[in-house]
Amino acid sequence: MFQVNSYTSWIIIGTLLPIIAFSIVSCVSFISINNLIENENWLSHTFTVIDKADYFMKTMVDAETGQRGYLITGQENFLEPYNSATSQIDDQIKALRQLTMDNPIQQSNMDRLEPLVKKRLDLLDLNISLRKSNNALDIVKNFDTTEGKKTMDEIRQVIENMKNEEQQLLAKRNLDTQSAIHTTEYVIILGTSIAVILTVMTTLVVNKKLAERQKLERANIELQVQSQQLRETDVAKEEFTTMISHELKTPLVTISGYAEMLKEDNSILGPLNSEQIDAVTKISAETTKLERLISDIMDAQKIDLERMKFNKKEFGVKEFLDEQIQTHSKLMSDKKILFVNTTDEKINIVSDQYRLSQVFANLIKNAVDFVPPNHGSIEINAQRKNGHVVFYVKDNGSGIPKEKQDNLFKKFYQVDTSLKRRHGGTGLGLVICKGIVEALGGKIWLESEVGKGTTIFFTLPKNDLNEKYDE
Amino acid sequence: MKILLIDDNESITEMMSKYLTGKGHECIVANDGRNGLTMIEQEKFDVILLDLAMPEFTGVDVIDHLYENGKIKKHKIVLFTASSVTDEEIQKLVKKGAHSCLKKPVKLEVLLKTIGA
Repeated sequence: MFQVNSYTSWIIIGTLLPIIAFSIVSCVSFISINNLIENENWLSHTFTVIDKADYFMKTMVDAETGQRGYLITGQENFLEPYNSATSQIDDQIKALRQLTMDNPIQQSNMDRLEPLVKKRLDLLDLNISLRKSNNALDIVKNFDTTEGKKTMDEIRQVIENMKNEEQQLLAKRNLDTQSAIHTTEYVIILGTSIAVILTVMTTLVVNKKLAERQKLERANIELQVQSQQLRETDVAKEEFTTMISHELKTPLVTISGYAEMLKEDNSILGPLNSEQIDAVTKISAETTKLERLISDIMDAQKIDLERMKFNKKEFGVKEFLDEQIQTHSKLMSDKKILFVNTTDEKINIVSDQYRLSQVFANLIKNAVDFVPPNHGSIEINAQRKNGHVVFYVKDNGSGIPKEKQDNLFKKFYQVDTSLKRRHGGTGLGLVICKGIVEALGGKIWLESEVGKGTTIFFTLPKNDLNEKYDE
Repeated sequence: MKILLIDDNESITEMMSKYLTGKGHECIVANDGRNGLTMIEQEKFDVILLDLAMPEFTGVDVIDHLYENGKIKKHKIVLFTASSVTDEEIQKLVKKGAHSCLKKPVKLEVLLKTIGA
């Protein structure tokens, strides 16, 4: 879980952060370029202001020069530059004021400049009118005063101030722009580096995860191949077991046949003495056990592979149990065991009679092995319960300790090895019973008390006609 | 009774024929399916004991052959097998006309009863 989260967050962070970094770089670059463009505009504005100021100063000088020429010569054509200059001056002042509108310092310079210009122009105008009326004395008196030159110097000073102010502004703007460019450079380098590093790291992480995934996929394919091999092995194992079982049973036919012939009264092979008959009887009994063992192994294998087939039919349970009493009557009378069917109700069931008799054969065989010699008793019973039939096989045998009860239904398990030696079972009987009962839709369990006996219960559904039948 | 015993295992045929002869029957042995089939076609037997698992020509082949030429109903054929044949297959063979099937190892007592029945 942690793996998936950390992997996913890596992908998100690794993808988002470079995008954010590139976005910041783009914004900063955009602002920086805008700043440069604005600065360019300011630069040309500054030069325009300086040009206009210079031109204004030239116009003032033109006005003064025109006046001087007229004063000396008295000829009207000398007044031409004066007239031309005075006609422009108002517009030029207005333009300068307009250009420096945003700058309070330049506006106050303009406030100083305007009265000075007016004063100088008034003086020029006065001198020209005096010359027109030939009042040379007053003109000379006027020239005596340095008023005109002083005003002109002041004007020049104001214009210089204005130009200086513009130059300073320009220098400051250049400085700001320089630092903005540096900042932009840093942001671009840093942002791009972070984005590149993150992209590389994300790629590495993604590649690593992809490699892991490919490894998992390969492992998965290997597992599938192995599982297929196991299935094939299972089939081969089943074929082998069938073959072995056949090979083992074939010699048993001859062995048990001769034993049976030898045992017979008036045996065609000639009479035996009682010890010989005893020996042959033991051979016969052991042969039967061996045959049972082979059949058990076959059945356990089928249960393992879920290949056991069922053939279900309706039959009476009480009658079926009576048949069980019949089938085992000889064994019971030989061992002096009281064997009874205590079923007292008529019940019909749809199930597999052959497999059910197999279950009973196993349970009865176990009970017979465990009951005390000469006063054993085994009871079989069936009764209806909630749509099921509950069967039991009850014995008065040695009982099974609690801690060992769970293991009884597991393969190749017997209560203990000493018992195994005593009873010679395969340990598969209860496993086969459990397999059959569960395959028929029931449950199996046991109740047992050491020294008192064991009861094995199992249920089967009473009427499961709706279920699919195995052919 | 005239009995034909078809089985490829010689110790089994020897033991069984000794037993059946001892019980007063006439017992003829065929050691493979094809031989057995030839004998069935040439002679009349009261009972045929047929092993299902034999190499090459099996007991199943013998039954199929007799079933196809329609002569199966004329014979009383008792099958025996050592569990290499499934219950369903046995059911099919009985449907085709075999009398019954005994599982190996066969109790001689049971065998005698089946023959007599």
